[in-house]
Amino acid sequence: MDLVFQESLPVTKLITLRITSLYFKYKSIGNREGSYKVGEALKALHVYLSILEYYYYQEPDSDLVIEEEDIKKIYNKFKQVYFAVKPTPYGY
Amino acid sequence: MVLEPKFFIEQHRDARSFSFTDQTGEYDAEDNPGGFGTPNPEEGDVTDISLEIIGPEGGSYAYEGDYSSTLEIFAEDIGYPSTLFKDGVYKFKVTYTTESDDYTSEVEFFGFASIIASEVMRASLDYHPSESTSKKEWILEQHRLLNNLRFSAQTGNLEYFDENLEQLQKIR
Repeated sequence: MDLVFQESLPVTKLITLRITSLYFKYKSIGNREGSYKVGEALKALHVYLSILEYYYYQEPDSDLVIEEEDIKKIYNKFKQVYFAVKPTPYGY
Repeated sequence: MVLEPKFFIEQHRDARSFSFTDQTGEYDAEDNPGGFGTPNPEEGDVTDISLEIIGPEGGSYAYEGDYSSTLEIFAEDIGYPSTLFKDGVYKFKVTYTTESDDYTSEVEFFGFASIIASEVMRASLDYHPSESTSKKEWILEQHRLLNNLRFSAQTGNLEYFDENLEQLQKIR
């Protein structure tokens, strides 16, 4: 289970960094819709990172609250959130 | 000098047990006069350990056994009336016994919140930016309160810990 976490950690970091920089970019050019969406994405990332932290510190031999399957879904959501706010040729 | 036991308690995430870790350290006349070693007893002189525990509901519990610097104690080991430790503030006192004397620590407070934390995390698995605003706010508010709970425990603020826990239990 640790392996899944370790392999995926750089992905979460990269996405968090990209979304954070997008937020400032939209803010600086006064793009309200863009900064609102990215703001929502940042809130989601905060929740997902909390779940990952919780998962990481669970005792592996106890009754698990967060299963490995749940974590795979969370990583998927990280990517979904990023693609939902990624700039397109049309922008926001 | 007198030996002054110091320790740390950490509840496990499944709420079924907690770990006890001795943190008495080695004797030092200036920095740690209550530590192990001359003129105090050596750690190896301690034969037995006992813990007195008062739960958030006011119940008293006790653990007695051979001394070990680390222990994992389950609810059934202390006659706790449930398999899960209820969330809240617990008071702990430890006594180390040597052949010649008993040494008792100060009362220490530790906050348990594994049950509510697991509920918050389970609820959070559904979080998505496309969810309704009310559901998102409900989950985010739980995270804020959980963070507050952590900060109150870290800063030793028992009143805020209880207050945040009560709020969290209300909105779950």
